[in-house]
Amino acid sequence: MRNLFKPIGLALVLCACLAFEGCANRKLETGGRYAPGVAIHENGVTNIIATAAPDIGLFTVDSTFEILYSTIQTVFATERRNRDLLWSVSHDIKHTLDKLRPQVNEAILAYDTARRAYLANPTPAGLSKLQTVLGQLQSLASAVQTAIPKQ
Amino acid sequence: MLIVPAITAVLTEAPNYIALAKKVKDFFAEMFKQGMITTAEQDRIDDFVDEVLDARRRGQVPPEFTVEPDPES
Repeated sequence: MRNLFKPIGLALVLCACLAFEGCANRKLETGGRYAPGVAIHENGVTNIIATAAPDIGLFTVDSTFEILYSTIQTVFATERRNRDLLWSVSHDIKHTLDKLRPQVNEAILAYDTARRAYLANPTPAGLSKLQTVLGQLQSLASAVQTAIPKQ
Repeated sequence: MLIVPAITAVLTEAPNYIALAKKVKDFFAEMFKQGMITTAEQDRIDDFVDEVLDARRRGQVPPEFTVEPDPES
């Protein structure tokens, strides 16, 4: 039954990523890592000229990765810092997170592999692969958050 | 007969997904408020991702991500 909720969660988060306000007008300032440019100085004026097309897709997945990673790290670190106390509450908390820790590490490595492949050859298929791995990380992030009992 | 437990189960799971989805949505809404993602923000994200992935490639896993022995009961 639990496996049925993973595509629901994935759809929710990816829809949130794509449906935010200003989606149609989002722009990357030229000169940033995702919108590379070069400074041209002329008549005392400096202009940044784009040297490659901005990659909003990569920026979006990387930004989402940051959120998911930070969320997961916060829960893992909180459990580790308060391990003795949480252990006295329930052994299941650590045991549940211990099952998720290796899966999270694998998903992070999978994101790295997909990202390097995309950077070497940016294609829609490559970006789709990144989004798929991100979906797996999102499922894990949700599972990690569920493991800690809420006050 | 399975519909009610299924709906209950979905509603139980939904808040976690909804909370995370809202967090992502709020993040992007704030970022795109001015219609422009600054070079500073772009570089911050890229540096963060590079730092995490470079460390993992070197086999460096933060202690909170590792499975450690159970506390002594």
